[in-house]
Amino acid sequence: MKIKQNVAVPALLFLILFGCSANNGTNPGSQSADNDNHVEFTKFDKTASDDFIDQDAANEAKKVLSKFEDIKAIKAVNTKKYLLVAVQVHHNKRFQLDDLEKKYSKVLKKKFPKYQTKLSTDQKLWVELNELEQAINDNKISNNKLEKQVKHMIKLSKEQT
Amino acid sequence: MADNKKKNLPPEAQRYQAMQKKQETKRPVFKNCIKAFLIGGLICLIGQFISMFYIYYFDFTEQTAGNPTTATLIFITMLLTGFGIYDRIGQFAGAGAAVPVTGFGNSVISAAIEHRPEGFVLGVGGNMFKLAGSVIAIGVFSAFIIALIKTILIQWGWL
Repeated sequence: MKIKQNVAVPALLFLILFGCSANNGTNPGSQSADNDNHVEFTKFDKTASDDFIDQDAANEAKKVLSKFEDIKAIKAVNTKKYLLVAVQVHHNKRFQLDDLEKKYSKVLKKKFPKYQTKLSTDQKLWVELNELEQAINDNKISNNKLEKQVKHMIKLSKEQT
Repeated sequence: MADNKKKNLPPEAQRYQAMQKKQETKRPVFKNCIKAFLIGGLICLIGQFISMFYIYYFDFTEQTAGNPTTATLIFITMLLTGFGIYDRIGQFAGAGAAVPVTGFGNSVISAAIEHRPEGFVLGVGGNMFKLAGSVIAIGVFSAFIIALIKTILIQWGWL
């Protein structure tokens, strides 16, 4: 009886700890665009107002980054000067977060030399960019406000303490 | 070391120790580990919720949300210690309640409460870091050493 208990309890603990192992498969997002890797990202349509900053660079950045297997979702917004990207990586890859951030930042800098690019894996930037994307898609934001928001986000991303 | 001490004991004392060992109730080490794991994990989960709250509702990034989260956890611990709840949690969870930052907060606050009758300055002020002082001192010293090593490695181009 005691032997059974000595085997069963560690086995149960082992199952609890390692049962929920990382899922290496990709999960297709509800908003996924036409991409090979099932990476979740929204694609900007042409906005109704002609004078609004076009989001071609942001769309292109999403396309470029969606080729990487570690990324599961991307949010991106651009102004005339800045390109801001937030990515979510698969949970088992979070240990290499710094390296991945550097790697993708290099890719973006190479691809978009005209823009000041900023890539982040930070949750805050993800939330803010998600709201911005929705506002752009719903035509609820002006150029000035977009510029302000992006500058504010870049300032946030530079904060250390 | 302990065995050598036992060998040096007179035979009667050795017999007594053997008998005492039989009578002693064994510490449920595995059960204690599980308790510590679960309660410690629960405290960390609450901390994560607080951190996400600051990220979503205030201008904090993942990196900057750490400070207010820690402050909030210590504030909650202060209240729980004052009402005598954290001591019970500590008795139940052991290391699970002592290892997170809440354990550090508890050690400061409980010492402050204990020495309150001796006055604010000499009582609370003089004794509140009796337990936590060693943690702060070693923490600061370790951080200094690590920073020094990192600086040297960066200067030599190894990092």
